Amino acid sequence: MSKQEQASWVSLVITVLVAIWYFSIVLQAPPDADLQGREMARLIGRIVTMAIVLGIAGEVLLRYFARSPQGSTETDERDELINLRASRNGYVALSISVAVVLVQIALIEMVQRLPAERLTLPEGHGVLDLLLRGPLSALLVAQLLLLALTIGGICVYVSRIVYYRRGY
Amino acid sequence: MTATTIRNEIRRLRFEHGEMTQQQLADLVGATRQTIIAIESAKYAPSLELAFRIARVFKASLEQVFRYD
Repeated sequence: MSKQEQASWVSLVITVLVAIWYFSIVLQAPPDADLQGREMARLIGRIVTMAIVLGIAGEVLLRYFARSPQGSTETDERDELINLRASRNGYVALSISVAVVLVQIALIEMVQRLPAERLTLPEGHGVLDLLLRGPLSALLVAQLLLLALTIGGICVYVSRIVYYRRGY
Repeated sequence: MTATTIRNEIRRLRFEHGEMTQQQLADLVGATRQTIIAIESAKYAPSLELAFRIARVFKASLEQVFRYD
């Protein structure tokens, strides 16, 4: 396994772990959660710190365990080509995700304009309830865009791994 | 698994040149060992420049190293 492939695996694992942790907290928030308050800022701060620390730790471990022979080339034209193709795939995934977010916002706006009696939701739906009944806040849109960015990033890493594994 | 239509004689040529290792060839042409492995197994078609560099190492013409099926 090349260093680039190992780095892609590390980045993928870190991104997925951080994303699962972050979005599980955000999506399980109660309907009355203060998504714009100090608690949210603290959570984002913790996420960013965790991502940076994990990224550095992964890089250090990779460099420690994957020592190349002295004077050998680290990256070449194939790595650049794979990076380009993976970035293109990531861009496509990001574009589709953002389009889905925009459609979602339009749908939420539509649903929120419905008369209250036509919107029947069972109790205890947390974020779904907030989405459909509460105001569509800028921070909520930001969360959805962050999810789109995460999907784009994951697509880049998965593409790289697939190209390295399958051969390119 | 995707294979390119460009076949090559790199494995044989390495053997004929003092059993040169993939890492040695990679160092001589400025590529990674993984790229040499991918080229040898026809999973990656190298750029024209890299193909010329590989041919130069074996003191052979491009057609003697690569062929298009």
